[in-house]
Amino acid sequence: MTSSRPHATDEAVQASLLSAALAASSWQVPQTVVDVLGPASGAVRLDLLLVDHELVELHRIARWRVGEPSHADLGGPDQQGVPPSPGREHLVEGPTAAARTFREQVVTVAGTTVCQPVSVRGHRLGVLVATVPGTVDPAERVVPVLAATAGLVGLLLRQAVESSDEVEVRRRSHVFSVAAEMQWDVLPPTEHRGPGVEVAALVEPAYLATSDVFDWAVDDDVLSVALLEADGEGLRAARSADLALAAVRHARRAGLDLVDQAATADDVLRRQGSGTGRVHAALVRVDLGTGRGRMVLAGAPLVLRHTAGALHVVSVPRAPALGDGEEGERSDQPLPVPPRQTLVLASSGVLQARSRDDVPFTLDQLEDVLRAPADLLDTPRQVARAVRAHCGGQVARDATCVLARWGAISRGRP
Amino acid sequence: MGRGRETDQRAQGEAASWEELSRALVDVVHRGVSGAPDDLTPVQLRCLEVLAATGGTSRVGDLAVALGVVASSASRLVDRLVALGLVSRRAGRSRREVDVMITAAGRRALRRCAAAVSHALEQVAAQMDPDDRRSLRRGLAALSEVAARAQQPQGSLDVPTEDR
Repeated sequence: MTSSRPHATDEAVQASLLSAALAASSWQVPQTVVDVLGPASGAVRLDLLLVDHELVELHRIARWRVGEPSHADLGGPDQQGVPPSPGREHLVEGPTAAARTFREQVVTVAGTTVCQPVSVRGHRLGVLVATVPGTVDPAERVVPVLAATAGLVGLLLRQAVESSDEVEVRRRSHVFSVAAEMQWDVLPPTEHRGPGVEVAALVEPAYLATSDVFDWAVDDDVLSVALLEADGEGLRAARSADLALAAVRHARRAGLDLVDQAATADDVLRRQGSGTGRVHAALVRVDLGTGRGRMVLAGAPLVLRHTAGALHVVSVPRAPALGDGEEGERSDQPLPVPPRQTLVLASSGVLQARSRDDVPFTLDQLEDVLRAPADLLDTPRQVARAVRAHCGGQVARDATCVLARWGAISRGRP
Repeated sequence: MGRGRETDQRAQGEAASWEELSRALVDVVHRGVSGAPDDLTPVQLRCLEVLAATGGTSRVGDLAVALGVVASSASRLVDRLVALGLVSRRAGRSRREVDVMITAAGRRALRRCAAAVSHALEQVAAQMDPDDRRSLRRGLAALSEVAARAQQPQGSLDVPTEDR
């Protein structure tokens, strides 16, 4: 194959990947991806790594090697295409090229290894790791082929999750609690970057997510962001949080303003009676045209503004938590975060996180994390990591951080 | 309270089997556990206690030995606690070999249940003669001490083993 028509080649690879993946069962999609892209890219080995929900470990879930029969081809009646055993190969914070590729979301070429991030529509899924023969220039074929297909790989994996357990289960480092299964079903993707708007969020510990949920939606000229944290714990808290989120989404989609969104949640939580409790919430709506936002702060969440290395607590009047509000008790307030600064919403679990010596996680520690020069989209992962490290590995309550920035940050498509 | 009744009690105490004598205590403990907001079974509570006592982390196989149940029972027990978010388990490995860890929510549930059991026992013990209550506490403390020294598994808590 000549390199004189790289685009035609990329499109042909995309087309063959798409048709092979659609022909395969959902659970076989990861293996199909490497079986198609390995030969097509001229690699001698191609691994697909997927990240766990905490963004801590990358797990290999499929491998193709030149000259070996593919796992998909082995799928006879008795072999059933048994996938390779999952491996804990890379810590996201580790020194490997794949880990760096994932953290920084950039293509890495290290000797004969090429790493391509696999991310799509706010889902940071993992990394494709190709090994090329020493005699081959990676820039010639592997790099462009993987770059041209990574987005499609992401879409195919997301779709595969919807109709099989295989991909989802093998991503996980820990078994989810029932509450976490509920929460991850309702959570939006953990990040978004579009023209003039960036949002990112993460619940720690992800596999035990119970009381906290976040939400965001980006439409033509509106950014909606919400952080909700239910009182109590266990399934009761998870159910309260989910009900409140459904109520907020319902009201928002019906065109109601922030105050009525909160009132809808009051109604729903009250009507459920026993078994549901209060839900603390920060509801934000930003007009992306003017860059100005409004917010309703109901109960506990912490609202912060980050700019030029400094973190400020934003003073917004606190109204009763969802489930506790009465007519006229809440009003929406101007959001005192201007464009190009970062809105930070933190659930009370962040500052309630205690070390083994009972020392609380402080705003200064949060500021240290935010001050480090990093992509905003990677910051919630770093906050979760700092909180987890502070607690000696185990966070006592859901600790959730939502970051958003808007304004002329990346207007126009790349 | 007359002498006669006390003598009756003592005679009864000497005639009764240990199992019969322990019933009331076990019943009160069970009532305490089931009255706690966490709806744990006594075995689940015991499992959390063992995990907390071993520094928070244990293998399912070791847990089974400590609880005096077979590995498959311990594994099922752990699965239930994982579902409730009270214990966490790494994914993808053999169920018996993997480390399980008590979660922060598990420690809170344990504290609530321990408090509920203490409360239930206190309420019943408050109706005892003060001397009897003191004797009971002394006796239970002595029992705990020798039981700990014996370092033996506690015996089956869910299924009685017939083959002993």
